[in-house]
This record gives sequence, C-alpha cells and structure tokens, in this order.
Amino acid sequence: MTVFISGGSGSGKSALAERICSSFGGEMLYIATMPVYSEEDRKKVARHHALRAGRGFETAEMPSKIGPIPPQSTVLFECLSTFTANRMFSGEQCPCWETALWAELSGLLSRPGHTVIVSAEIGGDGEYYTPEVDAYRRTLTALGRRICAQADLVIETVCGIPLIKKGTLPC
Amino acid sequence: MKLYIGAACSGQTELAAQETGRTPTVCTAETALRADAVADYHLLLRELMLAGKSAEDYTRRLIAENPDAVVVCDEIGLGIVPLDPFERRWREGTGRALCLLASHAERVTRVYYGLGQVIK
Repeated sequence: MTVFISGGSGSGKSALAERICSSFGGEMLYIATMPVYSEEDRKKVARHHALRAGRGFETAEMPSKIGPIPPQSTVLFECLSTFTANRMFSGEQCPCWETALWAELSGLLSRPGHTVIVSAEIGGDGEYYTPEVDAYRRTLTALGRRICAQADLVIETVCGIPLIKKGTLPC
Repeated sequence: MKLYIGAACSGQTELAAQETGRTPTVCTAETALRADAVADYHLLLRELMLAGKSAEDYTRRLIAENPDAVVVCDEIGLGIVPLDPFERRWREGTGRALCLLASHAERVTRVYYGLGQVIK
C-alpha cells in the first residue's frame, strides 16, 4: 500500500504517519532525510526521535540518495519536500529533476512492503521567489501528483485532523 | 471551544460571527483568557513568541481557563519555509497550537472563500 500525507508546518503529519505505519505492523524502517546543520535541526530531530521512541522503527539516514531498502519493510519516508530540496540545492546539475527523482521514488513505491510518504505543503503563499525556488516548487508538486495518482491513501493534515482525499484510513 | 481557520482573509472571522453570534476581537494574551471570541489568534501567538514565550504552553492555558471561547486563526504554515529562524518557529508554533486547540474543540471549521467546511 502507498500512503501520501501532506500538510502545513506543525499540522501533525509525522504523528499520523507513525500511527499508520504502526497499524501495518511488520518491520518498520524510518527513512530520515534531514541533514543536521544547526541547533534548530538537532532539536527537530530530537523531537521526532521522541515521537518514534518505543514504536519499533529502525532509522536510516538518507538525506541525498535513496539507498537499498528491504523489499518487505513498512517504510516511513520523511519527507519528500526535504529530500527534493537536498537534491535540487546541492549544486548537482540535472537535466530534469522530476524524472531523476521519480526514478528513485518509484523504486521505493514498487516494493511489496507498505510505503508512507510525508511531504510539507509549500505552495500556499502568494510570494514570488527566485527561478530556483520556483523550479523546486514545480518539481515537488509534480512528484506529489505522480505519487497521489497511484497511491491507495492520500491525506491532508489540518490542525492534526486527517482530511482524506483518497482511500480509507486503516486506523 | 470552537475553532475557525482558513488562509488569510478567507472570511473566517465573518463566518465565526455569523454562526456563533459573537464578535471576534483582537486580544492580548491576557484579554484572550476572558474573551468570548478571539480574532487573529496567529498574531496573538506571534506577539507572545516575540516575547520569548511558548505558543503551546499559552494555548494549554487558554484551553483550561477559557474553554468556551471561539477562536479564529489564519493557517500560516502552507508556503515556502522562510529563511528567517523566528518566522519558521512562528509557523510551526502556530501549527502545533492549532493541533492542541482542535483536539479540545467540539467543532473545527475550515473556511474557503467564505464557505465553511466542518472538519471536526
């Protein structure tokens, strides 16, 4: 099963994603994508560690490349928006980020194990940004749309409330 | 508690007034504890956080001391994550405060161009 969860800052995405993964059971792998540069980052990671504590997740740090993933594991991928930013702002050149990143993501999604992908909503302000940020926004939403087209369950979190866009909440 | 949220200027204040018969007013952290309807809660939290206080701690106090309040708030966490660390903390703090309010509210209404959708 593929699950996509998106929502704004502090809207309860992670807590819901962890609950859904736990309901699937089996071996659970948490793919962390956030590179840690500052005290703020460290606090964020510590908060997420505390949220996951005792839930039985293995953690794999994959800030810039999706490495080999056990085929049967339930994977919580957190998060698509950070992963996409890490890649697109790394200085690496790529003729089409959407194609390149989708090739990696579709490998993750085509496994027999469940995958829950978390992503932050970033298209909800009226600001104009640089061409690089605009390209990032377009790539991220294009990837999100590809995932949602094939996902079994799509949820937007608002104030900690899951709004179901597609499928049925298993828990 | 009743919570009304929406993007900036979506009509959440007007709908709250219309549905509850109360007039949401801009409050300080002190006056909100006694107000029957609080407008622009995200701005109250901003002032509070600028003074170094926790949005979540204050929100727990509001829930405990003013459980019947109507709270109106903008959803501010849906754009590109800002470069400024305080702006990031404000967005996240407001988001978590809204999660707390929503979990205690008997009704949560999300307003879209003046139209309310009850999401809880």
